[in-house]
Amino acid sequence: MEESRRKSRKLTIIGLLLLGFAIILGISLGGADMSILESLKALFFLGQASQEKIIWAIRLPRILTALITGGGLAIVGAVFQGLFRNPMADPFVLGISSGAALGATIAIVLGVSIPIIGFTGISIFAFGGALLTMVTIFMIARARGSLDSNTLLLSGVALNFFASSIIYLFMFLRYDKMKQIIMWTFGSFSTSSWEKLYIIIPVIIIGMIILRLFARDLNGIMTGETQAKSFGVDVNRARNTIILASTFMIGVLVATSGIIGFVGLMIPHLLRIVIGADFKKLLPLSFLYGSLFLLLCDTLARVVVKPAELPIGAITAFFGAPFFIFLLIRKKRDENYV
Amino acid sequence: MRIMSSIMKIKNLTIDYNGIIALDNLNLELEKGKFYTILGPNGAGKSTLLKAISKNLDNPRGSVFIDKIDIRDLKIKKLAKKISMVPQETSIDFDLLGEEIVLMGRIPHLKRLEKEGQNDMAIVRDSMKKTNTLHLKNRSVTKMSGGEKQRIIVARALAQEAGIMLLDEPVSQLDLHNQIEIMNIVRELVDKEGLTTICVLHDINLAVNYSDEIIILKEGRLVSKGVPKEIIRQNIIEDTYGIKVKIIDNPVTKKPFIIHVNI
Repeated sequence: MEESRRKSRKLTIIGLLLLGFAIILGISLGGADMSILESLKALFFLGQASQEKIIWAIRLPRILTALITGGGLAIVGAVFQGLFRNPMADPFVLGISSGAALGATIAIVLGVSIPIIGFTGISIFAFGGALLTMVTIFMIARARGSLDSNTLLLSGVALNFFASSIIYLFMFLRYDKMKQIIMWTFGSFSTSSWEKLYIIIPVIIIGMIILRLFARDLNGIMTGETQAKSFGVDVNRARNTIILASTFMIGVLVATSGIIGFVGLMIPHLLRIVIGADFKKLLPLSFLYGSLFLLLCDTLARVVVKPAELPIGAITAFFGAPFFIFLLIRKKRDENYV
Repeated sequence: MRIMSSIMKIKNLTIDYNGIIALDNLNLELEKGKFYTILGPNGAGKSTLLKAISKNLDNPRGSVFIDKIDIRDLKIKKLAKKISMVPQETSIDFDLLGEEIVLMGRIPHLKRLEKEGQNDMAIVRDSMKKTNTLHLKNRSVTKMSGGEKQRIIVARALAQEAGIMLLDEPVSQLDLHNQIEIMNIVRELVDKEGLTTICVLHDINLAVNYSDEIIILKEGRLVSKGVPKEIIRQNIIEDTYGIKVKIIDNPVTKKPFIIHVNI
């Protein structure tokens, strides 16, 4: 235990340094040409007014959004993998993303435009779709009396397909809106703003605190639900609280930036290889490295083909998947000679 | 003479799985500091009984009292301070260390915001010592053998400091060496720590060797309960399991020894 504690301290320091570097990189790279020095000057209000505006109104909110989103997705991914005792679980495993996508699709098709505090009608409908999915999940659970992890997962899969089928029907019926719908599901940080951050940041921070409070319960549940109960974990209460907190987190993130895959699957797995599965260490580090990864991906997404942008949802998996597979192979090899 | 005190009382317990009676009006009283083994064929209600005692069944009829308290009135954490559980097998795919798993046994004693203290770590250490698992402290559970993993689970149960330990076929997945090691550990806990254990086993001879009392169930009903010498009889075993047996005196222990005879 001492050794993994040392490792996680080391990873924290390395991660923070890399994150600092990534933030500077993110601030200085972009559509408008600015040197690192100019960008840093602008950041501290020592540069030209136009440059300050670019940094403070465009780049900084975007960087923060990517950072919070990456961290939130990675944490919820880690939590769901433990809660469902399933290494393939990701933040979207309960169908929350498809519910959000369906909400967004309906808003796009109906042309809803009632912006509330900086959020578009699409975002609000997406958030509604996410919450509705969660309510459905809990209704299924209640109809059955109680719910075990497998039933939850299967309900999630079914809801996923159901929502997707409606999205496809809408796309089929409204061919003209198809591109907009697809672009939304790719995910993007291009509409980030301070106003949105005022909502996202508190939701994610409160969610993270709640999840951290249940870290010990999650450790127990990882070893089996009946067993966890036998050593004092109130599994039902833990599960309900965790799902509720996670849904709000994912709902807000998906509503602002669309569906960004792979972060929530990859980051917790990579960290477990190094520090083990203890949630007390895993959760904070998941946030740190999820942030770092998504920030780097987004920076890449906006500089590779500038002034255009690549869809962030494609970038994460394009760079993440091969790296992930490489590490999985290496891990196998290590295990063999232990 | 030791003064016997009742630790658990089961009154008119009936478990009905949608019309299938798994336990039929069962009454039992168990004493503190004894090693009980439940025997019986598949479907006799052995595991159901353990589930009922550990409050893992919805709406049982009848009651289970521990230290005179109805378990219905015990919250999950409170119950975990009175009863610990060792299942048949534990499959953990996640990379947790031996010590991290044993530490989970302290959950019932900790408030949500409370950190594990010196006392908890001392209890964890002590539990690992008694189960011969100290060397597995920093080993990942994914790299433990079946016997090592089971000993770690016993250590975790022990760290709960509960007076009663339930064991559901704890050795049925293990080789002979590991079976004996686990049984020895549990027996020693009963003798030295005053633990009460209720253990489901399939091996009658193993049960005879380690138990103070044996409880035989068949079709959800109590067939017999008592010290091995008195209840391990040819007619009882033949009726319960529907096989032909011969019972001899074990030359080493002088206890009854079952031999299955084919006819």
